[in-house]
Amino acid sequence: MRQRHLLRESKEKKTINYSVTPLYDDVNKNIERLLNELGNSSDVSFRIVESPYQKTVKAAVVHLDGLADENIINENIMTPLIQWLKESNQVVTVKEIEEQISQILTVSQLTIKENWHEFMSAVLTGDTVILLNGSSKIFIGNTKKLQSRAVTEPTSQTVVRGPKDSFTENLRTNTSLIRARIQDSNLRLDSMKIGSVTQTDIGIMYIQGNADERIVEEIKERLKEIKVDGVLESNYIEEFIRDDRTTIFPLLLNTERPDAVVGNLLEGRIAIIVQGTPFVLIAPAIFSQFFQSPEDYYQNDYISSFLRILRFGSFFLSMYASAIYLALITHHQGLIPNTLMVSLMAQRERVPFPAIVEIVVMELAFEMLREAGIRMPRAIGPAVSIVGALILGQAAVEAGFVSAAVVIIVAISAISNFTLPSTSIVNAARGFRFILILISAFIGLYGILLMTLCIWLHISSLRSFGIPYFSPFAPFDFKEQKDTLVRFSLPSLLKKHQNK
Amino acid sequence: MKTYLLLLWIAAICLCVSGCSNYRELNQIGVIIGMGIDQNDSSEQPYKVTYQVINPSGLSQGSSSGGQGLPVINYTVTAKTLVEALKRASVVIPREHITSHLSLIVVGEKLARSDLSSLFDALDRGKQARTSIPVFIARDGTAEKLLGVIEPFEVTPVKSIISTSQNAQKVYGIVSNVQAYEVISMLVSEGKDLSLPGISINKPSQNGEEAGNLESTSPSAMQVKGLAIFRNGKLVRWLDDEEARSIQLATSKVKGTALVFPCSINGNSTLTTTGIKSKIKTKIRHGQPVIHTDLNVMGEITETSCRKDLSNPKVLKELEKEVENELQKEVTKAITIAQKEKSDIFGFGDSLSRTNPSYWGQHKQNWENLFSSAKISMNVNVSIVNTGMRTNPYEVN
Repeated sequence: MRQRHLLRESKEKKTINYSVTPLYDDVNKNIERLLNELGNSSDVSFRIVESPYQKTVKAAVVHLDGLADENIINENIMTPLIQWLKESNQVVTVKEIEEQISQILTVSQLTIKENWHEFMSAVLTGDTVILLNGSSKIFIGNTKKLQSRAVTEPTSQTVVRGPKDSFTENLRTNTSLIRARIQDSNLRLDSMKIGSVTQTDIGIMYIQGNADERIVEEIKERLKEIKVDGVLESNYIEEFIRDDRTTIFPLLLNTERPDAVVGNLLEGRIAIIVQGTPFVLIAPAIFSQFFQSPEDYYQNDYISSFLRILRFGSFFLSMYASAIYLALITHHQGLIPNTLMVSLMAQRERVPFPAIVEIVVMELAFEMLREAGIRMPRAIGPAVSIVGALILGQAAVEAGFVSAAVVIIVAISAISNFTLPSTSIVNAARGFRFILILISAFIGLYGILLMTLCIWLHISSLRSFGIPYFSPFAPFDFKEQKDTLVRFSLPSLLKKHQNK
Repeated sequence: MKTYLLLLWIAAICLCVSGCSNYRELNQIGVIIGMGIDQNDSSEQPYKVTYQVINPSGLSQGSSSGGQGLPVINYTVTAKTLVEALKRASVVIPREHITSHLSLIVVGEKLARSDLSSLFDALDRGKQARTSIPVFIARDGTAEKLLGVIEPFEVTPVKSIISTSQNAQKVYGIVSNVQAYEVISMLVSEGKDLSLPGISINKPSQNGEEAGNLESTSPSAMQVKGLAIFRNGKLVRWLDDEEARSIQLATSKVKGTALVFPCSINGNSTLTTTGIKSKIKTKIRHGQPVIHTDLNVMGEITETSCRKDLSNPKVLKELEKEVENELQKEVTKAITIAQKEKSDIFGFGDSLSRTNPSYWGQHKQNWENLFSSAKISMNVNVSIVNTGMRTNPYEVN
């Protein structure tokens, strides 16, 4: 019988630190070294061209297949290079070749570097590197092109009336979408790279004069302090730079919509764009912002005010509906009106479980349904959703597992979740819902009151980059009330910002 | 980190210490929705109390099917005091009973005639039950019998009593719902005496208390019958129909009613009122009180059997005069009856205490006699607003 080794002995690898050494003179040796360091990766592609007249005049063009734009390489690097090699039949020195190369290459950005580290990072980010035989200088041409999605409708925050483009995974596309909307010279874009392995590009955009300089500095400081291997999504950044690390409430807003970002930039906030995700962070963010949808400003102000109040109402409903129902039917029966009491008693008579078990089981079942709905393959989606609704709703009630009132209460609290435009605040409500249900089972309405007090104390103590989270309610600012619970008409809301 | 762990420990211990406190499932409680108090013949235990408890399984099967159970069950116990009765009821009621949904009190006529006043202390003092519940008198019978009648219309007898009485108040105006706190304030007040609506069984039958009643087209039902006048907390007299309505008219408690008046020798017309306002005033003339009532009625002619030209305003004025005479006669009759019983159910004493406090202070002990010998003066004003969708009645040829 053959024994199968689970883990083979790893071969001893020789690691030679190449980065401190400069480039070789010989082109072939440089390329050999590059392939070695990248582990003979199959997407490194290179071409060595030499002058037909002189064997020593050699050049190598190295790029990573897929990251570099083939068209630009072909037209703006290979064509002029080969043309020039064909035409130059005089003996020229390496120095003259170096001068001429920078004349003939027709890429829009050409930089000349001398060390190995730059060579490696240039190749890995999608630029094309031209090596010259006998020279220690390398020429880096900008040929970055990444396959990415076209600009389409946003998947999460859709509107009926309003622009329907959304950010994509490409940083440059995203910054260009913002630039297209703000054509002002005060719009700043600062970049940095975070993540030692992924080297993710981060862009920080703000309007000079609108944004508070201290917050910009603070954000940059916090970003510089991040020491991770990789940054995959903007949430990585969010969890590192937020003020309070232990709260469930979101302290930075994330959005997929360029018009939301532009609106926030005009109000003096800062946008943080991360390469690889369409979700852009906006700092600082306060509690009332998570209830604002950009569509509020694109529709009639009375309707928008009504919808905003509805959203605040749904937030509290989604937290409190199940808990208050449980408290009323188990601890405070005297508060239920007579006719409702009669019907509730009739329903509960057949159910074998205590009320708290019913409610917790139904809530968990709904959360499971929600998770399943996200990952369901589209083919069987509708069938399973019908079955889920029938099973959870009808059959459970008829079998006597749950009472009809509980199904309705859980459905109300779940549906009111979906009215909120931002998913991060909705998750906070979901989390607190379960705690409130447990506490209301123990001590009824009094417990709900105590927990509400704790939650409010917590929210009021949060700060997002120094700004109190609950403003403009908590440090009450009368002027700002025009845009929180209700929205006054735009002429009274918008004012021209003077450059401070 | 340590503070968070500490806080978590404190929270966990707090929950364990408090336990589940008042946690009670809905199917562990018996909800009392109505209470009937009767006089018991034994002197040891003078009260016979009937509790009406909701039967949930009777509800879930559907009250109209009348299959497995009825929506309510009555339990009767005897005791020395009302609170003792509540505790004694636990020997028959299968679940822990609560009174927070108590919505009706019915007092038997015999008990009301002997003494009503001490019944409401337990209700007022108790923490669970509310005092905003209506009180009725069971006429010609016991509260126990009355609470046993199940009507097919409303789910529970309690509800049918309350809604019948509200309907009567809105449409015919012979009674008005009196709530327990009002009863207490009228018993205590020196300027106003108590009056309560009476309920009896219309078409009493053998199976009025059974499911059979639910399946009949002319079942036994609750009937609002008359107004009870009290004096010093004891029931002294019943007033019916028009007399009861006159009392309500004078105290401005009628929402709408139909006044019948003769429009000619052998014809009657009906005036449906759209708005009734009355003010009572007690004036002092030569040291004697004069009770004065101002009555303003607005209405429409909704039925007539005389051939009069109703489009003529002069004719309408005549009719108004007729109505005023009728009203004056009726209300004066009602006030005279109340004066005979020496029971000031209108609140003339109250109004005197407000307008002439010094006189009231001197004479309030003697108000009964002063009231019964007071002169009655009235000012009735009727205005006919329109005559319905037709002006002149059709002529028969």
